[in-house]
Amino acid sequence: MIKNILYGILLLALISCPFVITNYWVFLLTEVLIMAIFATSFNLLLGYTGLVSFGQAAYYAVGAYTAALLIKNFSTSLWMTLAGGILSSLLVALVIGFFCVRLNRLYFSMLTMAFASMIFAIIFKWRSLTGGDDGISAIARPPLGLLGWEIPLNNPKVYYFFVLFLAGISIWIMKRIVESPLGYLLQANRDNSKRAEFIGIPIRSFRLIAFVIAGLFAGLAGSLYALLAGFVSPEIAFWAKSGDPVMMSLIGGFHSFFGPTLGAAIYTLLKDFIAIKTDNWILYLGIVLLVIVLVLPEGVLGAWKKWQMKRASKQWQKES
Amino acid sequence: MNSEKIEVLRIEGLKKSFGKLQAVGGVDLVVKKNEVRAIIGPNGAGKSTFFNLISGDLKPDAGKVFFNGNPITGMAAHRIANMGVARSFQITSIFPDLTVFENVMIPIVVQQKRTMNMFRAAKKIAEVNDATWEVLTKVGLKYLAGAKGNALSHGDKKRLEIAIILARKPELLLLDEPTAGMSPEETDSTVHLVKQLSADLGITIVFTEHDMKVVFSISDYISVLQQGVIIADGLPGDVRNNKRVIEAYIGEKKE
Repeated sequence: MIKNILYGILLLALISCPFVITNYWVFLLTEVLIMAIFATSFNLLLGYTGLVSFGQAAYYAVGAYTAALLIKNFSTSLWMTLAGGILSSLLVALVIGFFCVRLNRLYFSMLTMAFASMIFAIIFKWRSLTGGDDGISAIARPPLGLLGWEIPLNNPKVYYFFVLFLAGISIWIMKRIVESPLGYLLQANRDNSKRAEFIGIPIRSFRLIAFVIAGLFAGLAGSLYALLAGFVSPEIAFWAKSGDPVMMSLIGGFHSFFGPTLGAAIYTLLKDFIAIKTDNWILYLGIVLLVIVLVLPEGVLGAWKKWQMKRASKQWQKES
Repeated sequence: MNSEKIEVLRIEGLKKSFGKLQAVGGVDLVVKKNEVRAIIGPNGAGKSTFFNLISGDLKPDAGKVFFNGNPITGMAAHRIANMGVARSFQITSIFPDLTVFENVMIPIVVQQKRTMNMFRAAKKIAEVNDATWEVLTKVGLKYLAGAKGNALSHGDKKRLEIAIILARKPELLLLDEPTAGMSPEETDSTVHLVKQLSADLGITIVFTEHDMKVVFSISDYISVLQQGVIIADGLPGDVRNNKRVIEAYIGEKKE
């Protein structure tokens, strides 16, 4: 009940805030929403399937570059651009995942990282296609075609609403997935892959399914980012970018479904806030993250849940 | 009814070595429908390896395994499980971070072939719910449905593992030391449960066990394994008086 009211208030705030804040903040909030898709998709692997991928930037970047190239070379419509971004990252995740899901634990993580480095190298070196370290700039946002209407997305506030809508849908779909029968098979793999195998679950296939779902949503996030920034560079494929969703999930709490979303907000805003004040932002960000991880090992949302449970049990003791 | 019972499990010349150590050295075994068969033997006799070879955890070096007449030698574990062979592990194997209800719901989902359903909440599917409660009631874990797997007592964890297995409605059950580490009360209730499974559901059971009281109270037949080979095979009364078996066990005690 209280939870639903809280969600309602949050949604209302997200819908109404562009009318009272500056475009700078609208841009930043749009980035938060995109990162929420990225972090939540990553957490399908970490929190629900028990796989630590250190290479999610690959699918994010493939989505972003595909979107950028489609617009630059073929002036595709918005829906085609996003479909292209999703499909390309889905295919890349399918191929890379096929090899990665065969390995366990650290070996899995290292292989995801190795493949991501390859994607980075391809983007960096294939100058004629990707522009190398110059990247691709001046990516125009195609208008939103909807039932015969054409809504221009050039206004940052309009684009914000578009991203808010897609982030809402994406996160809702992922929530459905983790609560579905398939979602529980993923959790079975996370908890005890041997037990899962011996009740008849072909665990590699299900790990691959999770990997592909995570990859395609990372691709969507990347495509949306390319349209937001109007610019892509190899930096978004670099291994440090793969660390972002890891950080966000740790900060927010990867045991809760909405933990990574909260983490995405904290991380993105904090990074921006510190970067304005000082050039040494990485150092200060590191200190803040250190404190969060040390003081709240279960993440912010995890700590909040624990505190609520403690309070509830105290109340219960008082009453009985 | 045919008086000749169907062979559920048939094993021919099964062998497995780890380097120079021969863990299982040519075992032949036939288990018929609805039989409760104990595999006993001193530590290191190869009981666990034997189980791992049947259930697909290890691939044998030589020999054949048939389940209901179909060859299952060297098949992947999940495929053997889907044919109707279920197993428990010596070290209890459950889903620790999920609730007792979810622990049982997962094999139910597999059993009902809903594994590719990714858009309906599992707990809101009536057939899944009903089947899960049914299993929980059967094994007496209903009152713990909301507890997390790793919060259970050792005995309840073992029961939960049996519940997970039962949810798959197996024809053949391989239990690796089902009462290891249990209190006397827990042991009694597990013995009762195993007897019930065999009598009510007609499940064929092969189990290993150290507790001789348990072995003699529930098995129809006993096979004795020593250094990877079966040295005696037969009714409990015959095995109890078999000279080689007595030597094997007394030999172990001397060490």
